[in-house]
Amino acid sequence: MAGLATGQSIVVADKMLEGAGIGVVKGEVTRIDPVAKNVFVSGGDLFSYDKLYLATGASPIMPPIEGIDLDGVMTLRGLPDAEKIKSRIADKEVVNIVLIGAGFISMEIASLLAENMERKLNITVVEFMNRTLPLMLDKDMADLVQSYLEDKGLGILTNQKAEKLLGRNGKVTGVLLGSGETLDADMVVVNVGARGNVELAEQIGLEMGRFGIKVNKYQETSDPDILAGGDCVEKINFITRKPTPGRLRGPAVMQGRLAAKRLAGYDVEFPGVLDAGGCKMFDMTVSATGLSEEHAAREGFETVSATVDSRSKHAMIPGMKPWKIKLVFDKKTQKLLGGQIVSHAVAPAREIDAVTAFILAGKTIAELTTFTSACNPDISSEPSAEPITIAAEQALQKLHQLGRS
Amino acid sequence: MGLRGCDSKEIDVKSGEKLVIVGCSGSGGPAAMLAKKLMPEVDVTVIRKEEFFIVR
Ligand SMILES: Cc1cc2nc3c(=O)[nH]c(=O)nc-3n(C[C@H](O)[C@H](O)[C@H](O)COP(=O)(O)OP(=O)(O)OC[C@H]3O[C@@H](n4cnc5c(N)ncnc54)[C@H](O)[C@@H]3O)c2cc1C
Repeated sequence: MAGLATGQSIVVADKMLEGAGIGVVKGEVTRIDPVAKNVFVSGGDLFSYDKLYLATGASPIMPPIEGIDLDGVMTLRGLPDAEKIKSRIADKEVVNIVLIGAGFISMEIASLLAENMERKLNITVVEFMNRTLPLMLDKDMADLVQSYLEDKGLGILTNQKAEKLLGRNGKVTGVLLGSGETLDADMVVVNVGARGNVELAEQIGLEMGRFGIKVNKYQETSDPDILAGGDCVEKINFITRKPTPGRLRGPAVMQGRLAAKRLAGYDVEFPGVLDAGGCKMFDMTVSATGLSEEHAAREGFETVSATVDSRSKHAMIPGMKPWKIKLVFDKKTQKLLGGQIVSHAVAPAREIDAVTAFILAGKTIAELTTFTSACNPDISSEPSAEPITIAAEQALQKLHQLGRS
Repeated sequence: MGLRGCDSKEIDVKSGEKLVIVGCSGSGGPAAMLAKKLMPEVDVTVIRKEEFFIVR
């Protein structure tokens, strides 16, 4: 998108697959016959299988609002979409850009466009919920992101619904908001979620869940010879054990590898997802895992949380950048439920992986108060400012005080 | 068709058998690479409609 990664550099060469002895076929699978065990490809080719793995991914949801088909209304899923956005933006008359949805895809597009264009663009992000990155962050953490992005010149409108896209001569010219306000728009980029590509699975009668193909812990579908994984399958949330879309690259890769292991006779189970993800906007990096406070409350948890400021390096080291972590715990079991990081340096955002590991291990507040991190003046905060430990200490104190009152 | 229980054992793909993978990106690509690594004797084919195997 930004020209930082060229189209070619994000392409994993087919040579790598073919070199490993894998057959690569380019074409759309239009039909599967699960009885004869054949796959039909556009153009008329037919492939027989003993085992089939479905990894058909997802497609962006385009909300059914008036004007969604106007020229200049786009989304981003694959390389052709990125090329379309880039070629549209090359038109010097494109100045006003509205992004609908403030999830990680929109936020990254907005910041990349603002950062990399030679001319000034008016970029506005419109979000229906009360905050940016609503699936990752609570309002208190999202507010930090919003004010940072506003300082960078982006317009962020939360609690706003895009009611209608306005146009002239078939081209988009504006966005009418629920408030009655109209935003000028030469280009609108819509990223409000995705839906699994499950047409083939439905066609052959595989058991379906609310968010995609139903699979067991081994990626097996209801057909004994068909496995499935990635964005087209429904996942289970590791904490709530409820069905969830979980459409992120980590689970997609791991489910693919797990299916391969299953087929090779290994007995490894998929544990469920925590929706661990990251997002980089200008020099700010956000990462999150597990349940936010708001999500946990929706699931019926009573929570205790703590937010702590930290440093990317020891305080006296030049180049030190601030970062902040919020940890959310279940009051009843005292187990860690989730974490959110907003950082002005990239490296601390990876501390989210430690939070993920702690959630998977069922660590409690008390156990986290004795966590010792790897420490070095150039790569970490002082151990005395290690924020996971301090957040746990704060949560412990809160519980202690509640217990005494 | 009900979901098979997690205790099912007859899932392994055998030597000389064919594994076809529909989709070759986030999930299909790694599935193909690891399947071929663990089971070199299995015939693995990926079919994808996108022009390239891209990393999003
Ligand atoms: C712009 C963008 C940025 C993202 N960034 C991140 C990120 O930073 N971190 C993260 O964790 N996740 C990210 N994601 C999500 C991540 O890309 C997906 O979760 C992941 O790619 C899912 O892998 P998948 O294999 O299930 O689906 P996909 O990667 O979508 O692959 C689907 C494959 O199926 C093929 N296909 C579909 N139907 C057919 C058919 N009928 N016949 C043949 N082939 C077919 C397609 O050609 C493609 O090869 C991003 C997504 C987008 C859109």
